[in-house]
Amino acid sequence: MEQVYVTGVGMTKFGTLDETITELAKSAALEAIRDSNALDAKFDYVLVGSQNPDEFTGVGHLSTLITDHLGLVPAGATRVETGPSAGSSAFEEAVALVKSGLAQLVLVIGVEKMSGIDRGAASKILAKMISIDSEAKLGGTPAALAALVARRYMHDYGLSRDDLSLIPVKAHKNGAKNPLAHFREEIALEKVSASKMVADPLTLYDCSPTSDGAASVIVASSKAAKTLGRTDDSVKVLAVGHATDYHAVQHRPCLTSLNATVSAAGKAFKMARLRPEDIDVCELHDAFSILELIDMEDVGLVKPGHAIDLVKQGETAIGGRIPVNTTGGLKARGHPTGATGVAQIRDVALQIRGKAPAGLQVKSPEFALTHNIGGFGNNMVVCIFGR
Amino acid sequence: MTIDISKCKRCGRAVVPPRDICPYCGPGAGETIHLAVAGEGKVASYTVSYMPPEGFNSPLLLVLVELSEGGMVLCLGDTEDTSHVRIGGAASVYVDREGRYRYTPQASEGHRPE
Repeated sequence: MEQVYVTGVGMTKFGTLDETITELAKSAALEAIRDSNALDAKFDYVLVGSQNPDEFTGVGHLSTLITDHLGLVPAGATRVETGPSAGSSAFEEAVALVKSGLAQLVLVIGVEKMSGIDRGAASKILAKMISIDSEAKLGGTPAALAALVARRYMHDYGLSRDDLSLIPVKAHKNGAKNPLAHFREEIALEKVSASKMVADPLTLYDCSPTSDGAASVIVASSKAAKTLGRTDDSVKVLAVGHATDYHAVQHRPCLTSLNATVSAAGKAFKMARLRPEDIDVCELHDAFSILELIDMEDVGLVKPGHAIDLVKQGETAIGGRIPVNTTGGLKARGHPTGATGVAQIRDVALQIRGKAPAGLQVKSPEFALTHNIGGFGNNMVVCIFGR
Repeated sequence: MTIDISKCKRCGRAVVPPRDICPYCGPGAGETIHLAVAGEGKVASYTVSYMPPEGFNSPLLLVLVELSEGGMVLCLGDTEDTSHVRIGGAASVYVDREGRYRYTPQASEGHRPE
């Protein structure tokens, strides 16, 4: 099978930004194109991952619009939507296009602009990813569902409130060193439990923000990577796994594990012919603090109930055995939903290239993993990368 | 007071609200059996939400109930008194006039829907 490469990456700052969705997408894409030496290259496709640009910004037909504004006509253009994993799903499609021989060079952009409307309206749009009949109708929100999961996890495994607070504390510690992160200040442990209660036991600091931002990567065949002169500084795509779970939380057999992750990670490790212990650095979807622990267990880094042990031992910090969310995760890097998956891929590609921001570089990582969630605990994409 | 569930003829698993196709077995298992059950069970988890969406009052008690027949269902609870809610505690489920699932602690026998 064709070896597929990531030949270049780009990303805007994440946060509450003045730029329009088109400007954000353009800015990240241009950086990735420059990074790939591809300013004059012919792109076969432009794939845009975005959760809901029509409702968040009023801008429709996004992939066609961006392709035109980047001067990449007549490349094929498609918007991919799988909720907040839209960015990873767009990347997955790019990999499939190149592997199948339908394309040599594909531009992938993940973008979301969420701050243009008020918070209530944004929450309403985000709540569309949960079950209308079984959850939204009762006033359920993604945070409330995460709280149900968190409470059961704490009950079953004896996880304490202060232990859980270690996750956002680590996220902010890393985010403080990431120049593009939404939040760049460290926080004290006490601040997490003392902050505003969102859905008991989860507080404001257990929840990732809504952000604006874009990230972009170039996906290329080996022939295209050679033509661009990017074989040395490219990152190999070793695997993509994608899986769903039952839509409503109440239909899932287990509350403390997300089976879509288990499935997607299982497929990815099989494809890469690697095991969880081979991974040197990973980006996991911590939309809520509790999810980082559950993700670690579902990906297979540690046995169920024991993720917190690794966190307490410092093994998931920079310099630990398996650094998790080195650039701040969704909590501190920010969460412009459609952009998140592509930002994760961009950040691990920089880790493999040894180009992570100062203070965040993991010592010569060989294999990296990204994990992106596309609903509440649903529609997961896991990718594995190597040198 | 009963609630409607479906059961799969192949795997026997219960689903609330009822479905024609078993989500676990797919269309190959044939149409499910629909039946009415008492709605007794126990609390699988719960939360008090302080930032519910527009149109809902804060705080909002949400209780996930595991039915005796199997299957789980998310229910609205009475936020006046949340102190009795605990994982594993007895629970009773009914459907209110607006078609929403409601949780009551099984102990308070006198409690009846409006």
